[in-house]
Amino acid sequence: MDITNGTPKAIILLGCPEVPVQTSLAIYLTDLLNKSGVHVRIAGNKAALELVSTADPAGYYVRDTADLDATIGALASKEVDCDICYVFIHNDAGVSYLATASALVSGECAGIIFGNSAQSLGEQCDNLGLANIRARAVHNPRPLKSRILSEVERWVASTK
Amino acid sequence: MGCINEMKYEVLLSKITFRECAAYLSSNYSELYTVQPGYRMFDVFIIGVPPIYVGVDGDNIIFPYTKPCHGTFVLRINSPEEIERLKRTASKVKKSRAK
Repeated sequence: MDITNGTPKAIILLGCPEVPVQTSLAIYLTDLLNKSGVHVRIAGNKAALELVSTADPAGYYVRDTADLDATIGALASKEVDCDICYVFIHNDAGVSYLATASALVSGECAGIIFGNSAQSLGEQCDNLGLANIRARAVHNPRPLKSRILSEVERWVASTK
Repeated sequence: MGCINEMKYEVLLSKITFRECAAYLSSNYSELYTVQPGYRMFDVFIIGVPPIYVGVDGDNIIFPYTKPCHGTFVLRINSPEEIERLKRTASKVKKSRAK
């Protein structure tokens, strides 16, 4: 079962929500994709989803959410697919999720790497051939905002 | 296919990196298989960076289990059924050593 009919589809995989910038950057990314006419599904664990939905109580930005494990299962069984998958990463597990998404999604995948270990995690992704953008953002999302904007503009242009 | 939480499982390693997990499995188990990311094991889908190793020791299956907040765990579960399915669907990487 596809998640939309005809419109471009994006899936955002959230990591552990312990680093503050993840929630606001996920909503920022979702807004950019929404404005580009992309259907966005945000997948995460209970706490990560509760953070994004609490930050957007009217559902103005966050319109479709799903459990992280269920989403991986749906991708693996080909019930769901997408044109672009962004994976939020601030620890080793995040790299594993990006590698998994890259193996399962027919579209593009890219990591959005933040936190204190952004540089080393980014190099790990580079060595595995996994596309990513990164900045050492922990409390202040600003270092990643312009990179996310450029990345979304690049991807949207590539679909035209 | 059973639910991991309802099975008797043993945690061999906890909160490690995926690289550490792969090194542990490849150096400690002579009967070793590789699976693709998203491979279904019991009721979970394996998360990881290829090659993802799964070990077999008698009737025990040893595999990585990754959670977003806690990193990777190595679990051991007694399950001849899951081993049988693994042998049918995964790639074997080493021959079993005679004991």
